[in-house]
Amino acid sequence: MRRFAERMRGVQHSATIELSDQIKTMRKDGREIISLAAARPDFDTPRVVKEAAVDALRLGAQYTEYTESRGLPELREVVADKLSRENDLQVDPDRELLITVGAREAIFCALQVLVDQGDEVLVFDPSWLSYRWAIRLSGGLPVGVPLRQEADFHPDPEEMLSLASDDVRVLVLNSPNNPTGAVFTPAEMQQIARIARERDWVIITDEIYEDFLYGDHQHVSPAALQGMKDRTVTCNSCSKGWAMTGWRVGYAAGPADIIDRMLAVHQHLVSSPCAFAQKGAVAAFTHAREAVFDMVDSYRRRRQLLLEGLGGYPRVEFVPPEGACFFFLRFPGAQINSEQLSRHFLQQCGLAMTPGAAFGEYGEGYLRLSFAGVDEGMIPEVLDRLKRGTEQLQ
Amino acid sequence: MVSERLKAVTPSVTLAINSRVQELEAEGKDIVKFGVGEPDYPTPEHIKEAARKAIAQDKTRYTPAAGIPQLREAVVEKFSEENNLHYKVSQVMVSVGAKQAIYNSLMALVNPGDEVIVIAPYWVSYPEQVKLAGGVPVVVQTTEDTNFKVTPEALRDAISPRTRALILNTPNNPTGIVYSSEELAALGQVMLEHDIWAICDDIYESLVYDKALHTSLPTACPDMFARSIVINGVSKAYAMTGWRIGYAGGPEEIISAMSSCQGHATSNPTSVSQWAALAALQGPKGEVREMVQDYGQRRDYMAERLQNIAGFEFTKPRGAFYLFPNVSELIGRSINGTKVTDVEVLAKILLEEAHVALVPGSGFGAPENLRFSYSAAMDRIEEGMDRLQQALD
Ligand SMILES: Cc1ncc(COP(=O)(O)O)c(C=O)c1O
Ligand SMILES: Cc1ncc(COP(=O)(O)O)c(C=O)c1O
Repeated sequence: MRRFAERMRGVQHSATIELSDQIKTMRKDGREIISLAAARPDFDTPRVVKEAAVDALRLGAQYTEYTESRGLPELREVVADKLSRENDLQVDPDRELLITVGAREAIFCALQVLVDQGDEVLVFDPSWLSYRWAIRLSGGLPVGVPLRQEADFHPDPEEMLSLASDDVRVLVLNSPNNPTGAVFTPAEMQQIARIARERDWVIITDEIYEDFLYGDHQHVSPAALQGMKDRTVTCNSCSKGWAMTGWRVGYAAGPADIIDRMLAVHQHLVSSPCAFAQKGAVAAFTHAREAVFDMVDSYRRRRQLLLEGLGGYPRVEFVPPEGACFFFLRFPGAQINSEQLSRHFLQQCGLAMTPGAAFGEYGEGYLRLSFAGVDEGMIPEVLDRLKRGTEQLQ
Repeated sequence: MVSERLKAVTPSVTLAINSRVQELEAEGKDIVKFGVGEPDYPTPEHIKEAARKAIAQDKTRYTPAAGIPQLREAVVEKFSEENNLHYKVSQVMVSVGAKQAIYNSLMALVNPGDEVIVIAPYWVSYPEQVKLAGGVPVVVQTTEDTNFKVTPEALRDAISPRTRALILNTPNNPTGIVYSSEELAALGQVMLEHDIWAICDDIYESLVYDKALHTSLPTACPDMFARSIVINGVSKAYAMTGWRIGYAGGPEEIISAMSSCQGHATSNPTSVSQWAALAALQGPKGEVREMVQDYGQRRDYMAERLQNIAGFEFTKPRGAFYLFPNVSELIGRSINGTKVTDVEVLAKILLEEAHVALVPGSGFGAPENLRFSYSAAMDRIEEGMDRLQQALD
């Protein structure tokens, strides 16, 4: 047996990807599958963004060469503007901002610079599974803080405190939340911030779903709260808002000393994100903000149709999503685990949903239904199949 | 607040120079750039066309973390045809530059405290990447005496029970040297004896002159195939540095571990760049050949000019796009009233006074050398050499 680095032990290819491979195979066999698995928008990248990228290619070598490793100055400028206008966060684009290969790289670099071998890192459970692996890859140990359905998947700061050993220095936070759809309230954010200040923690906040809000839920950037700017790394990207997942442009905003160290990791990891993709991102921030809101409107309608269809249907339990693009579903009375549930719906009714266990221990028993990739017109069919599959569980 | 691992990591010197150059340019200064190892060629038009097509067709979504299957197949074919290395698709992957491919290799191979042998002068990122992976870089110094090549004896001496891998870069940055097939076979034998992995950075493969031939280590030493990760990319060969596409071939288990690491660090490289890289690997090579011929002429010109300026000692290397003269004679002298205490000061003086950007060898583990990149256009090379001559006469 070949000897690999210990850190790679158990690092898995994401469950979402395995599922998508399975879908591909079934489709090849002629099965008609509706995928509710991917958190990837079904929209196309806005035209102005595409045009800006094409223009950049024409402009010559400047946008086909390595860019400044921090990212194009014009992109940092518009990101800083956006943070100031929308998140109440003032950052110096030359010192407190780093352009990254998606939010993923932002989170990865932040963990690399903040976590030492054996350090405990707090992460909500359930949550996006890459957090846990990125923590492992930094040598840290993820410690799960439960988000429970009884509390509408909102955090319990007291419980968080009770789970945190004295060594904890970092908390990873994601609101609006993948996979539960919860949006932490301003009061909850304040409480978490207070604890972070008292315990001297750094918060890594993943705000990739910040635009996806329903009802009167509000997004709060913890970095904007009093005394928090100096202990918060805010991570975000163009992926979800502008349907730019494949372009790989994101950013991290944080205190200059942390960003400076993240820059060192980033320089030895990737040098810089794709040059003309950064130019496309400039156009996204400058000219395509409305495109995001159009997309959110469409998500809102999908959510509403699903709510109406599932409301009053007793065999499926869920908390109406407050943000992001997910329903986190439970099937009371079902005697099988989330992986088996996922297989059941895929095989019996051609519906692909991600097993909740992929998001942590507390996700067991659930399926994540993503409405990012399903057209409004398909939703009656989704509901039909979902109910049919649920009946078969009894 | 910062982790121990990171305290040990220094930012890239090359990139630091680049930043200072950009500052000076922003002030309106005209800088001759011999600093950064970047082709001054535009990306060939048919490659850009493939990118435009991918954008028009909305190929702008996440791809598999290891790359689109079409590109992985093209990489398999490239390795097979050009390097006589035969991989399956599951044994290759695509990354955000060769840089990330090397990072992934180290993350997949190295346990905390494992040693990785790095040959000095080295590319600045190697030791830092080893440290980021929790490993200990063990530097084997080479000098002009062995033409900056590591000998089998020197390699054997550097190996300890904790040695996990060797990073080998040919054609070499910063020295420009190219290892022969025989030299590689001899190094491979030592690695086989000690069960050490080879991480082969072949990024400058297509840039060789005077009929030099690039050979990949496992090509020269087939028994090393199962213990080698071969890394390459489109940055240098196709003037595509900003597109960020590199690739790696190796045993399936290691590629699979590398791909999960990448999945959590960045996921796939830019989708549009992947389609463009496919066009690069499969398309006509005419422009690339012309580019290499051009580089050859620039190399000859720069070498000749430099040989006529006192204080630059070197033999003309046969690969990459670098000259790496020894400048120890200049250290201790004064230029424009400033005393040259070391190569870093020398590089600084030449940047600030002569507006010529060079990289001090100290960052590469060679404190007596300066790196000249001849990837700049011919008229810029003339201008730069004029300025140097003036500043140093
Ligand atoms: C919560 C969360 N964070 C980050 C990401 C990755 O984003 P990016 O494409 O910007 O790397 C995702 C993607 O699915 C996500 O769900
Ligand atoms: C020796 C060496 N390896 C790798 C690279 C990185 O290439 P890429 O642009 O593919 O990341 C460079 C770039 O300067 C290099 O000099």
